[in-house]
Amino acid sequence: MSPRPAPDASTQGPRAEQPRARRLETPPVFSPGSFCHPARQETVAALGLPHPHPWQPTEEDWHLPENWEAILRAAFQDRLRKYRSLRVFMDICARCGACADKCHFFLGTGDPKNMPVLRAELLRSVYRGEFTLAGRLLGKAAGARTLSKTIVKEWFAYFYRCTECRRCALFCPYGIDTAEITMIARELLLELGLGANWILEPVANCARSGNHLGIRPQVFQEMVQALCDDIREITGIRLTPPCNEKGHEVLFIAPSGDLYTEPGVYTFMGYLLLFQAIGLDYTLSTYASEGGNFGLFASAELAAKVNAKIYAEAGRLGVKWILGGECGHMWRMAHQYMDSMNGPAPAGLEVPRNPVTGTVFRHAASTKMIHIAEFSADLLLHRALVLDPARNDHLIVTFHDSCNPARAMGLLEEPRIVLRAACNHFVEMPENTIRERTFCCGSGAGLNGDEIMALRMQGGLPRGHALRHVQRHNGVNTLACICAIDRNSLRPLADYWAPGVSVAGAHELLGNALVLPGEGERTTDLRREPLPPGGAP
Amino acid sequence: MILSLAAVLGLGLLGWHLGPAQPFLCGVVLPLSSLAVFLAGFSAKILVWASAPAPFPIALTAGQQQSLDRIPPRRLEAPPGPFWVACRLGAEALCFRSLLRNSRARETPEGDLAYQPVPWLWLAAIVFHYTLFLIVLRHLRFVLDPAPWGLGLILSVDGFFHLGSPRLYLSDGGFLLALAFLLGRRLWEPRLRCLSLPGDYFPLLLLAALAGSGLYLRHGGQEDIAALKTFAMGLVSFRPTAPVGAGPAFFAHLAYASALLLCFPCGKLMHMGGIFLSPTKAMPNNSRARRHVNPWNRPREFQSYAQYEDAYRTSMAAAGLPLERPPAEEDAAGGRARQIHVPTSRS
Repeated sequence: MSPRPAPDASTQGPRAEQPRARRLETPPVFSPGSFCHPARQETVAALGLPHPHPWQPTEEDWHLPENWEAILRAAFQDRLRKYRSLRVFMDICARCGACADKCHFFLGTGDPKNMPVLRAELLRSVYRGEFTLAGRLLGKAAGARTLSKTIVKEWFAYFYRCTECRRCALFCPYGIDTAEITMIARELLLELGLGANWILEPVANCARSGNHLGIRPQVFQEMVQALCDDIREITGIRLTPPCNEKGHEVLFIAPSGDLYTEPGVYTFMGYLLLFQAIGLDYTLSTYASEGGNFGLFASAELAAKVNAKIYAEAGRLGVKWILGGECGHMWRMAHQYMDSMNGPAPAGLEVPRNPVTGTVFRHAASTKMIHIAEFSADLLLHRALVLDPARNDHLIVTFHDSCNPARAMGLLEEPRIVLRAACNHFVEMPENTIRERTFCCGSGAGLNGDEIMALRMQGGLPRGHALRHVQRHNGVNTLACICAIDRNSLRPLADYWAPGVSVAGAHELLGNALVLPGEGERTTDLRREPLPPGGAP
Repeated sequence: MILSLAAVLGLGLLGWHLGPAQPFLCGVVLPLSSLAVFLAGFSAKILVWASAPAPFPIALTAGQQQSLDRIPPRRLEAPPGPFWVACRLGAEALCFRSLLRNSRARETPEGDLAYQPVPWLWLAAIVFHYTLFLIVLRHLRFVLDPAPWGLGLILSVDGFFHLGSPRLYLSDGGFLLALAFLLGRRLWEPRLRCLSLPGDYFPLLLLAALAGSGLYLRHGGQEDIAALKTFAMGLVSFRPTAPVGAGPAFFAHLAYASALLLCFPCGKLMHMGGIFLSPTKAMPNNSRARRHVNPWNRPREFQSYAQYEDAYRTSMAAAGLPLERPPAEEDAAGGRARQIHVPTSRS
């Protein structure tokens, strides 16, 4: 495990008010805990990406291809041609500084290049030097730079220090989206064979086995059955979720992390309990067993390839619509990219309709896919679920809005409806840290490997501070979220910044509270912790 | 900063000295050609931006989406359609809505980060832009004859406080204050010093010089207004006559105005047009309701279900998972899997 700084010692944040001059000229430093391991040669080759080669960020020579400058120029030109966002964002930044102290990485590290404006300048300065008249004529006076190997290293350092959370874009008068810039910069780096292993290996796995972890079909089914065994012990109800079966109404896809990590597995149990409670006619799929999409963190091309299975499977199984589980970037993909990349939805799919309440989800009329929080909120608003929220009375719960549902969907109220119904004690974190202003967990966009734990804890400072504030003032002991990466990354964040707070998915808490027809007396919650006294029905 | 200051001063000197000597060059050719460059450059830039497609609907949602009927959506923040996008853009362009969200991170006594709202940047930006707009409007009296009623209204409201003679306009005062704030923060705050480029100081200094020379012309110079109006009307009717006899301050003012027009299309001043093409603000959040077509999308190869089943058929059969082709059929075909191509997703 890479070294972690103590919670209060290292983080300079806004106290670092005196950045040194000539900041862009400062070469990047690859200290332990601050950079991603490079993608291995075999993985890059297996994905058909250019220039697979061994390299290390700590070495001087990164073994770039001979014509690396020409490659980068051509790739940049290509993206400028294809993306209006890149064209506009390269030109209209007024350097007003509104975004500067809005990024969790800047607040946590104090590194000026983590200010979104300067992170974008890393790319923009090269854009000016290579592609604009003013840049070519005036050089440094126009803020232009010419390509160099140091700049390539800098791009790897800083575009893998952005979690594409888009908080900066919220405060920018023009909505300049650093996530978009980061995505494109990562594509440029991939053209030189420079990628992050933590991102590309799951993509390669997905290409083979349908999910990020390489879980083979029979193992997938065994994992589901193991969770059903746990459910039977806790509730007395035997579940037999269909897998790969044709003729059902709904295809349910969850992030694979919910099947094998804690606390994701409890959320998965919550999903299954919900479906049982309403008698939903659904099937799982081992082929389309990954809701997440690490391809999104690498390139548009890989994102499209990873996501294609969802529609293919929905068409093959002949379902009517698709239900997606609690995952953040999955929904950035499903809400904003899926229909354009892999659509139109297969013929035979219909506008999602809740079979219990009759609600037609018109806002998903084209993509034909809805979020489980939208589905559950609809059930709850129609009082279609029987709940005993007292089973969660031992939990003082707060909610972390994940970046993508918040800023790339607007899914803010739906999870809150679920949590308020499932829990009697719900508290919000401070206003400026939630909803559309939510702070990233510090581990998104593929930055959730162990090798960058130090960076992740620094990036988690703003969220950590908000969490410990409600822990201190309201006794919060549970942080709920609707993202699988969050469930994975908020645990070390909570252990570091607010020890004593545990992390749970919204549907785990719903699963705790659901009263199912035919269930026995529950004595424990889904984690097998004893229920609060007087809480069991 | 020094570079920009030198450039601005140099420009002023050029106008001051060259102008009276070459009134046609500096009074007619320079402004008209600058205007032409501005118009052509501005349009070209917009066309360049618009010619690139927006392949994905990446709206930035700053509020609750429109989903369930019983959940009130924030339509201005997560616009469900083109009408609300227009409203959002209007709010952004006219009220600088996003700047109203600005906050400053501060440490509480308990050692936590907290975020205080700070309206100063918004206030300065609003005052700066609106007073600039008013000043430009007031200049219309030089090119419109007779001056329309609305202009007269603006002038009387602007000179409401009857300060000095000629009257000091509120918009002039407001503009200078806002400009001082914007320039001052760029020089004072370490974070802004760190991220500012010469191209950030230059427009501010240029506008300061423009305003300064304009104020001098109004309050200090002895210019013949009537002659200047004749000159201005000649310019806009494309029957220009050189402003012979105008003072050096006038030529400096013209030089600054021309420089502003010339550099406008090249730099960040284009944010004026850019906001309307920014995909995060100018696209609706209806991407699951209506399919957004990416013009350069193309079908991709990916592992089909048939290939997947071929790879795992035996273990899937052992696990009791449904199969498209059971193992027995595969054995009968001699163990070589027949490639069933499930139609790939394509746009």
